[in-house]
Amino acid sequence: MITEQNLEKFSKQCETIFAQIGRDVIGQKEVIEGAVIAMIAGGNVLLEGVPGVGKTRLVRSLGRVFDLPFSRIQFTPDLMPADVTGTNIIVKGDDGNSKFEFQPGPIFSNIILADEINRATPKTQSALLEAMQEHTVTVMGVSRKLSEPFFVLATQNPVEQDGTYPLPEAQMDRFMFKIIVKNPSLDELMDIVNMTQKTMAEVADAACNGDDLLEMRKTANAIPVAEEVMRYAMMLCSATHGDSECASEAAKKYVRLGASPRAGQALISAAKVKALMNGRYNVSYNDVNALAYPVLRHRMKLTFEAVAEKVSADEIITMIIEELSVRCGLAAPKPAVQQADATDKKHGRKKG
Amino acid sequence: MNAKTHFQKHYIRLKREAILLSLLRGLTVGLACGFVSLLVLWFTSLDGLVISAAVTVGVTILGTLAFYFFKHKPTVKSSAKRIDSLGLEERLLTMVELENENSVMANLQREDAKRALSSVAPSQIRFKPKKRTLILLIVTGVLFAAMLTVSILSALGLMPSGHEIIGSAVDQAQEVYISVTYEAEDGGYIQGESDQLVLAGSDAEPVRAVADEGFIFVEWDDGYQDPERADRNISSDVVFVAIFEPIEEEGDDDGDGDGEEKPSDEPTENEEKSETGQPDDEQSSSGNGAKYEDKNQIIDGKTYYREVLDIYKDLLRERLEKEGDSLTEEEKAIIESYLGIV
Repeated sequence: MITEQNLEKFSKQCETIFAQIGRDVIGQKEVIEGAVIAMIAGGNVLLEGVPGVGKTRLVRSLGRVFDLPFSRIQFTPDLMPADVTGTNIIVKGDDGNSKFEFQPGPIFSNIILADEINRATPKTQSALLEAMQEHTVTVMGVSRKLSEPFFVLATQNPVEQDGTYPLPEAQMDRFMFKIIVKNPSLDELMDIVNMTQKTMAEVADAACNGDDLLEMRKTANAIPVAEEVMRYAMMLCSATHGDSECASEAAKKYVRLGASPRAGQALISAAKVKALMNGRYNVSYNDVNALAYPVLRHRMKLTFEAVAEKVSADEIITMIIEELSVRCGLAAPKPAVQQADATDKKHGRKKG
Repeated sequence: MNAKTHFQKHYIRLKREAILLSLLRGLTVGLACGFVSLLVLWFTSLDGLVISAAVTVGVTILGTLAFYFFKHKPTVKSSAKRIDSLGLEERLLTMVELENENSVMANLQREDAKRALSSVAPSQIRFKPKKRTLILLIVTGVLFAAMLTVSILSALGLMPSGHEIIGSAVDQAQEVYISVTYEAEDGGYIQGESDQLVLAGSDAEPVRAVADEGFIFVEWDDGYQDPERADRNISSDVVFVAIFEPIEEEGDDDGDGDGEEKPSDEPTENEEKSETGQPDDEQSSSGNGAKYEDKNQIIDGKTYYREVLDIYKDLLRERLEKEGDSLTEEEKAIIESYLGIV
């Protein structure tokens, strides 16, 4: 049962988490917020950005702040599934007989950094599927449960596509968020250089442990969602399908394959966390709108028209939100940036 | 305390807003109906400005009431949504839905919503209709005003009614033009308008078939004998062709060398057979090169030219005999000269 203390604790822990991550990572407020929301909501995160923008550092910092065992897997074309999941090896027992013994792979951890995930072959990428969704690993017919909480935080580089294997839709769908890591602003860049001139070491302290994280998730799950807001969120997901009953005009033109039901689950779970982080005990339309971008952008397969007209997934989501807002008679949606700013103010974070 | 009691102090404003919005929409519907009724009455040439006014007012009142009671009347949920739109981020909507829940979360949410509600003054609820509603009202208003002006002008006789305009347009659309063409074969031409466009059922302009020198008019291809014709009551596209024949030189062309002319109704040996070698039962003047004879010339389809000449000759001779003494020598000479020519 959720008590007032749980809510207060949630709020305090969020503040601590952001403060500690802020010691290691300069700027990237939206990225940090998105990653933390996904972790509290229990989702995997795909971070996409050019090299050197702090993706790996952020993931390491998250591992430190949540005080959880952390594994890093550098994905390369020659990486094999067994290198990820582990395998049975022959060992000599005390009685002198040889026997198979399971040697766990790096996936047996709580936070997995799958660095440059698109550089591995689809076979190796698929080794993560079961772990990401069911939080189990099956090797040689034996399923093993991964310890909770379990997250995969993957990174990929949008450029240098030679020798890469785009993630299959099934795997993409298992990422709760796809967060675009942008280049830092000028002020942020100066802060980054000043900080790293002193030390490259990561200084963030643990803000909470795995149990705390699970409790935060449970607390956030208790946040109520008004039926109309829930309907709106589901309409948003359904509107990405050109052939659905509430298909948007943008989706009909630009989307070949829309978001799966997992997107709806992710949207509501994340919106609850976001609402609670903002000190609210209910989910608003703005929460849903702001989270539609990281939840939906990697779940939509665009049509040739979208590619030819250089219409991005984010632009399509904006069109869908605007169309639905008119259809549902809502006030004009606030841009996602404003949402992030509001969160900054709430947590007293300095704008970069 | 139920959720509705929390909105009590905002309720008057919400109600006023709903009434104004219903009035705007009712007025839009009323003006639209007024426009339609004016249009119908204008087209049917009925004098019904009072009826239109009654329709406009009646529909406006009914529409306003319908919009208010069936759409805009503030309910607990709609009030919550409206106040939420002032920046409360669906706090009140959620509170209304959790009204009967008594969990810790529901209570906390309720307290949070009440706190947020207390920061919203009723004066913040301002009537601000949507652009679409206003545009629709303006459009219907302009249409109604325009139609009213037209109806008044029509009623004053300053402009035709819709019925009259449509009637004349239909008449115009129903006018079918028919082409009447007069053509001439070789040996003549058409005097007058040879290509005519006339309304169905009306008359064509008169034309005349004039033979060239050395030719003679025979008839029109429809059998009409008079070279001048004025066709009446034309009902379909027609083409009339004037037929001409060359005039054969008078003289000993019968080929017998005696210099005497044989009557044309007694065919010569050459004329006895047609080109195919068969006897030609047709009139000898038909075919190639008919002989010119006064007695064969018909001037009005019935009277032979020769007969007329004979009558004139007889008349002139009679006059010369009777009044010969009173005529001057010059007049006598002219008459005798004329008789000699004929």
